[in-house]
Amino acid sequence: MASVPHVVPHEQGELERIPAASALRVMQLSKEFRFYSHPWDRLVEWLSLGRLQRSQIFVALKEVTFAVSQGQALGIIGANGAGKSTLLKIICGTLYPTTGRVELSGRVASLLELGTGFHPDFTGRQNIVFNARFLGLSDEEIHERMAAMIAFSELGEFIDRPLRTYSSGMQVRLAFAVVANVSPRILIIDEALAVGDAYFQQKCIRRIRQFREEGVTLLFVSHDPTAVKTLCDEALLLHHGAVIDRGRPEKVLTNYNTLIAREAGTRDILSLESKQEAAEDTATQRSGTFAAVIEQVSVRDTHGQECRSFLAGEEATITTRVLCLEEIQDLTIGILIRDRLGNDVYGTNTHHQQIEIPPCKAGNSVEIHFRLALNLGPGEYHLTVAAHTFDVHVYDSFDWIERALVLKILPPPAGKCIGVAFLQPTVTYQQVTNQRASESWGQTLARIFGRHFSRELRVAQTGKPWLLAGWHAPEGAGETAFRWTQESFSFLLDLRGPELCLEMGCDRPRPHIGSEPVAVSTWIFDQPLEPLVMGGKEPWAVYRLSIPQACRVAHGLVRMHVQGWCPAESGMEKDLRILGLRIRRIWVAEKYQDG
Amino acid sequence: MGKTLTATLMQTPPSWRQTVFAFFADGKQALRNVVHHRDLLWQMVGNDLRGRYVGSFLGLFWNVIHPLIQILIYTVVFSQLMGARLGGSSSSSPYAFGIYLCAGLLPWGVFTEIINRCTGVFWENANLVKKIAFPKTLLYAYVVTASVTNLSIIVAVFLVFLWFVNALPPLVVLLVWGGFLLLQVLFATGVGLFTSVLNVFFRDVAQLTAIFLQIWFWLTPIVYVPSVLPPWAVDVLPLNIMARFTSIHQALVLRNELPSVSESFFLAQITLGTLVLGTLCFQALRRRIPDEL
Repeated sequence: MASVPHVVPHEQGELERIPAASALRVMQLSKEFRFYSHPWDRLVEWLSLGRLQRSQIFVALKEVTFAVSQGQALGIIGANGAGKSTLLKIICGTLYPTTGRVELSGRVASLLELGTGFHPDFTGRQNIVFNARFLGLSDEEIHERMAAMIAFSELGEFIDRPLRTYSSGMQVRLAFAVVANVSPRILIIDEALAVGDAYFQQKCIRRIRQFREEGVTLLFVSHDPTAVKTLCDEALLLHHGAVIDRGRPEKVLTNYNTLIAREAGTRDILSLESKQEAAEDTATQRSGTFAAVIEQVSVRDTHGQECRSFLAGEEATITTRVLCLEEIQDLTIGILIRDRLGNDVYGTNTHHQQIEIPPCKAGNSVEIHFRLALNLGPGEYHLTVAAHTFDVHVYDSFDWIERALVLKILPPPAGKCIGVAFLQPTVTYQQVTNQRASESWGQTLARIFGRHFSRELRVAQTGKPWLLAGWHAPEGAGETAFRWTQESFSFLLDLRGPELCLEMGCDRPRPHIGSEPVAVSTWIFDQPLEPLVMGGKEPWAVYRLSIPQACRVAHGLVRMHVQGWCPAESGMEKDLRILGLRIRRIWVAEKYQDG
Repeated sequence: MGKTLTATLMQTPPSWRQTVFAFFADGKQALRNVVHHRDLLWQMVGNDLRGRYVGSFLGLFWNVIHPLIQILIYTVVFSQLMGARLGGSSSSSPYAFGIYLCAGLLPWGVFTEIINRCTGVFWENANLVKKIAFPKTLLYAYVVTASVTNLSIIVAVFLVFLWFVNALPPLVVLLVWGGFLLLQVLFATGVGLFTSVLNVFFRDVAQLTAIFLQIWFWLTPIVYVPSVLPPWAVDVLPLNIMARFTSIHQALVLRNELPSVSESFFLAQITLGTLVLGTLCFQALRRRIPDEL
């Protein structure tokens, strides 16, 4: 299985494993909110002493358990509505849990929301005193630290002006200035920091780092991945009120991103489906005798949530409910997954799975669950479902829904892949030492490529049997030259001759760009040849390199390196390509040419 | 939140025995919290008194001017201009009706102030309750202290007025009156505890309370004397706790008569009962208060 972020890290016995010496222990914390659509509903519920339930219960936190040791920084990540704020508020003590408990000791300072406990009509200085008192500072302590707080806030003369004249950034400065000087044991920071300007944010982050060195425990909520990565030792991923992952920030953030993609994908597809249903588009893809009809098709994840986006390898349950309109013997229900292009990827049915559905009376329904690991490559797939008899649908097809659902498979957080299958290989390696000790390079090439190498390469040879790397497209239809865009390239050649001849020129698609000479280095196997310099202005010329005696073999490998040049980088044009050289013909001369 | 805060929250609903025990333990803790946060409490009260008139010329002085004008209206306007006299009163003072009015009205004003402000206290301070962890009893302590401060100012102004018209009661009577005023404040707090918690869940409670207090005002002989009532109404009057309190205030200030011990004891019992009921209501629901704001 891929590392699916659905592992609840706190299993039975977890509570005992939480170290008792932790600075903060959160144990099986749950929080429910009750909503009433009308005050009457609450009145009815209260007067009936809870016997008549008229409330909708929203579970904000589900059995959250974790501990943070002294001086550790824990980042809390999760989508909006995942329960982060509720959790922090319970830890701060502003909300009470429905069940479970929080154990902590020492002063808790929090920057939860803006303007916490500030009085708009009082000055910054008066508000500092007020706020510090709420944080439990005595008057002497406030007196001692006042100067430091005012200095930290950098509010200047604004410190003696009413708070209502402050900008939101200034309010954050004031709030943080107080928190920065109350010496808390636990510091809780929500998104508040995002409001300040960059300079003050930096200052706050420096102060937070200092807090950490002093051994302050930090709880940090942010959507900013870099902040979480740089400030936190560990991260906790909350999803629908439950802790679904905890560990190194990088790992948890990756899982979080996957989760968001999954949720977004599911939402998109579900909304698309509901639109389609409204348009009654599906009817056209439906066929059969309708002696039994498919009432409902759904795909759920391991939590039982209706879901359309899955991670590759994730487990899913496809549920089909079939209503029999007449009594049916030998009912078979099948599923078929097809890829985007309509190719069958996987299909099976109850008959092949040797599941015998007992005869079904008219009016009864059968629900079939196919639980399977979606070992599919990333991409979109369609699910087709059918109800028929025996093993093949052609005999007596009751209901066949083409493309009943769309499924989206997301790449797994680790081990990206392509294709329709998700095979999850185990990859190992071992190093092999010098298998070809007795061979020469030429012999090795001959063994691998096993054919006669040509003595001459022309661009007209479109089969490119000698191509190894770096060949680019022809200049245009009917053109007789190739352009090398990569800096390095190599080719195979029969090198039995004294000279390597190259008919080539600098790659200058437009004459006005660049006129510098271009340096070309050439190697045969590992043997460097003399360096070449091509004139920047000459379109074509024949360059000759003498081949060392030892390299004159029937199976040779020539490697060239061009000092590539990018017009965009030198600011001349917007052309982003790296320009190297063009080649028309490469051959090995029979004998030395004079001059 | 103190220097050391250990929040241990119950996992299962407690039995009634635990509840009773916790009630007294919590009550003790609540009082301790208030004492611990006295600096904060004074600041909140100060903010309250100053906050109303921040940036005004006379500032804190307005807190004195308002009751002074009120007293002058009751005494001068009612007694002198409209010529209202207290029927069947033995007192010969021309201000007798004015003093009668003030003796009932001024404590009533504080009574309603405490109840009305308690009722709205969570919604008004929703920002604090939602965002800062602090003992919620502090909010009641703050409302009551602010009101008591207000009451002290009003009573002081009233006493100066009494001294001015040569009707100042002897010290013993004044001390007893102070005791009854405090008892009435506690009674109002008990009612306020109840309405404040209910108002969090049913916002109509604030409106109902305000209306009910107005009706209660006219059911209590404050601006009229009990003798104008029909006999059956006089018979049921003792059921109205505030009528009992008011008649004690009036008797003390106007005629310097001390109340009977049995009456005092009865009122003390009622006050204690109200406080306990109010506190139980608060204890039962306080954990759900922040959820609703």
